[in-house]
Amino acid sequence: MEKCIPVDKLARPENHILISLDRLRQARTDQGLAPFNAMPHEEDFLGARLHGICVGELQAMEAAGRTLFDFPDAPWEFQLDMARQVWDESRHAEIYMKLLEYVGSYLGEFSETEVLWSCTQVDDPACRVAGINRGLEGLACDVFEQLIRLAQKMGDPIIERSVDYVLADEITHVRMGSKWMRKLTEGDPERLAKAQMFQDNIDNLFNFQGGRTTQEDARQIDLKVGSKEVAFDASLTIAKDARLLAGFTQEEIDRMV
Amino acid sequence: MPDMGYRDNVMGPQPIGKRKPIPETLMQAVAQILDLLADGKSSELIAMSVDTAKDETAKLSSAVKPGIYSDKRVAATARTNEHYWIKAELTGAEVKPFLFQLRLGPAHDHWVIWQATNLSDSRSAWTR
Repeated sequence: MEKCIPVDKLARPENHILISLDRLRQARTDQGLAPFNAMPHEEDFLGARLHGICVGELQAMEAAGRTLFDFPDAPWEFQLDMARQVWDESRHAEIYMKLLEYVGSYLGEFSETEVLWSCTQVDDPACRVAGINRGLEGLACDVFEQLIRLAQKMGDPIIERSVDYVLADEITHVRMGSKWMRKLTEGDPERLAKAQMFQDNIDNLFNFQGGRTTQEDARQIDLKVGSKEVAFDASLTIAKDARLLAGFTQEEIDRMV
Repeated sequence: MPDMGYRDNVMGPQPIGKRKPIPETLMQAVAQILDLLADGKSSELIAMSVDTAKDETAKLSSAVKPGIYSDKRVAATARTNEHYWIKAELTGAEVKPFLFQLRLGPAHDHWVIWQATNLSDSRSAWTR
């Protein structure tokens, strides 16, 4: 089996639409929308956000499985952590599929992009965990924390608790990434710098052109979710507490805003 | 994911939102596009495209040999806001199926083509 497979080799059923991030951005700008994912002020926000997370969980599951396969000489404990992550991500995908149904959506309603998988395109396990576990799972902490706050405002314990269960796992995934980035690069500062640079590139890719704010600085807008209307953040916020719990330094967090 | 059916007698949390149905007019437009493609009516197809998609649509149309496809089907749909991605296929006896993808957006009372991509020979669902 081929190692470090490119994005056009991702297996998907025929009745599924997987497009490049460029195409998604084009589709959004053609409709006068911000080029990235659905923002809180959009009518589709909740369904589209949950859908993006759900396919992200599927790709995270595939990525952890691929890391396990691509690096057979990595320490046994590393492989065990990756296997555990595959299991976690598969449960997350199931949780989000149920949440999609709960909000009146379904897997496949929106298009999937390759963006998470493109972050696996590196042949060093230290870079892989830096990018996926620290970069992307860190972003997941931000997205989940915001969803939890939205659910609290909506008075919806189903979304609040489901996402909270998943967030608890994501925090361990980030920690796992921090641990293995350090361990795998022990005594090799050049390799560590390369891994950190790979993570920085991913952080930059997802910083939404400076569109992320702290929770305190987020402008509040009226958001209609189902039959409820709540005042909520207009931008994606940084989950400071969750990120600190996950082992990010204050300096790393400050750099993202 | 399949709909879970009649829920009124089911215990536990109920959905807080309703599914947004795929517009019937969209599927009618897709059926019309498939017919035009299969019949080689390129100029009519190009007329259904926005300016930025006219070249892509012409290229897609020129890749289809008219009159050899007897059947058509929609393989997948997905949406980005109000625009719909449609993956569809033309098939016929002893001819290689022609798989392609469109992005259609609403314009007043009809649908227009924003993107057209030939997917034949590509693997998976990926469209660059």
